[in-house]
Amino acid sequence: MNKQTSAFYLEALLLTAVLAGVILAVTGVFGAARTRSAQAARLTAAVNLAENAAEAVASSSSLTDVQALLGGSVEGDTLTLAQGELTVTLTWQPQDKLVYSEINVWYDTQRVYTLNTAVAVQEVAG
Amino acid sequence: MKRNVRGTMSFTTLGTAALFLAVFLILLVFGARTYQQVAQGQEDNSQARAMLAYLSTSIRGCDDSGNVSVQAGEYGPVLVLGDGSGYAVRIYQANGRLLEEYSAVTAPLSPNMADELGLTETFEVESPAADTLRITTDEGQVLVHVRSGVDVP
Repeated sequence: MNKQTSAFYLEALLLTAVLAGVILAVTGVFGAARTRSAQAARLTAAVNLAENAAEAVASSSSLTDVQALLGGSVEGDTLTLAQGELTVTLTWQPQDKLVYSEINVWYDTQRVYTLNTAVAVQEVAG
Repeated sequence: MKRNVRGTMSFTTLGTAALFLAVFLILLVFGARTYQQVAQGQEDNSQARAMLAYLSTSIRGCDDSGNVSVQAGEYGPVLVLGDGSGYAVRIYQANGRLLEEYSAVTAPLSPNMADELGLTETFEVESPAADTLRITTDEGQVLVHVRSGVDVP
């Protein structure tokens, strides 16, 4: 094998390595784009769910009223509601004439969105 | 011997070029599909946000005594957002489009003259509790607490 042949094979090997690197990088970018796209869709759904839950809190005078509007199950001062791949948890904490509520939207164990709200109610019920 | 080496080199050159071309084409197709998926996702998100936010903002914008009501029209439920002048913004669905028109409350609906808010086959307006509206479209549901009260048939 002469010098010219060796140089050719070395060049081919180098190009193949560069190609493999480019494939890895580009595939990573495409994968990240798909993941981000799915996250954006999830965030849109989460914001919508949280806003609806906040409106339900504004419409209600007790956690039972919120449950009647949204569904889900109540345990203590927390309402839990499953909506497709997302889960909404809503707390109901009366204090003086206000009710404070923290609304969290979860994807598995990951918190996607949080919304804190407070509403004035005439007769605060637990 | 020299001819044999040249043949192998030509084969390797062509093989490498073919490999590059094939990988380039695969990446092109994969990239185009990814871009299409991302663009479609963005479009869906924007459409959902725009339609649902527009509905809730429009209701809140005229949340004054007797201004918000729901009527049964020839195309289904009509969300009537008045301003006390006898004229009102009326939002309804006709032919798969969510429409909005500003006209006299008593005037018949005219979809041809209305502005299009978006595409939806579903438009349901219900009152699950006092002073609360739940509006359902293809893009999802929006719940609105109408502080001044709402007239629902």
